[in-house]
Amino acid sequence: MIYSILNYLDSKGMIGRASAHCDIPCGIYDPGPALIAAVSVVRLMDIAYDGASDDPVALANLRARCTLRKEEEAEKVKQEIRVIWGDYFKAPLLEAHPNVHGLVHSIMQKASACKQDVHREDGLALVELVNEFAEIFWTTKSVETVRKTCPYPPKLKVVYPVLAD
Amino acid sequence: MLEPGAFAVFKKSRAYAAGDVLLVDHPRFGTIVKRVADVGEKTLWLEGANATSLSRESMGPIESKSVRGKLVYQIQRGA
Repeated sequence: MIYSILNYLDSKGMIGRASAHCDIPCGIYDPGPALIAAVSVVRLMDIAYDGASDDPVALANLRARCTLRKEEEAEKVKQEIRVIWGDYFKAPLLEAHPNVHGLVHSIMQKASACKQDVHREDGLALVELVNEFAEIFWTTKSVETVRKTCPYPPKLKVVYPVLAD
Repeated sequence: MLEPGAFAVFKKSRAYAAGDVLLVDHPRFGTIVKRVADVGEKTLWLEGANATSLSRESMGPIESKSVRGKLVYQIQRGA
């Protein structure tokens, strides 16, 4: 009851705001790093499979490095998306985009699947989910987006903002 | 610790102690809520409750004129 009254007063701009939980209260949010990390997951899967060497130790080393980096990049996807979802998306944006909660949960699940195994289809699905998240994010900024093939392997379609200048 | 979306009441005080949760007008980070980590002669050092919070060094020494008050009460969602 008290909270509802305060919430109403807040909606009328009668209560000041302060940042207490954001990582850095600078207001800079961008899904770009999450997309790069998601694409990196696919790339690392490809390298792990395509890497060839007559030296079994060298091949084991390459695959170990790919697995380690894949783990880190998938975790980075989760961290970047969690911060945007948790810190940037406030009640009005969530009301306008009610599917964000489900989408973020799917990203968490798919990123974990990418960590657990090396199924390329999981990596591709992760990129697609983060693409969808990026499109919603830029919509909240009234910024148009375009899907273009990223200019580096694995050359997947990635969402880019169309900035005015 | 403040819950996300909580409403908080702050009260101006003559002096603040380590552990107090303050509302601060920070020159670079805007209006923030942080805990007092250490009290100097003329300045305060702040810290966040989360591991990923800004470090006390990045927030720098805080002059008392930047402090708007100490947390005395909070109303959480559902109250």
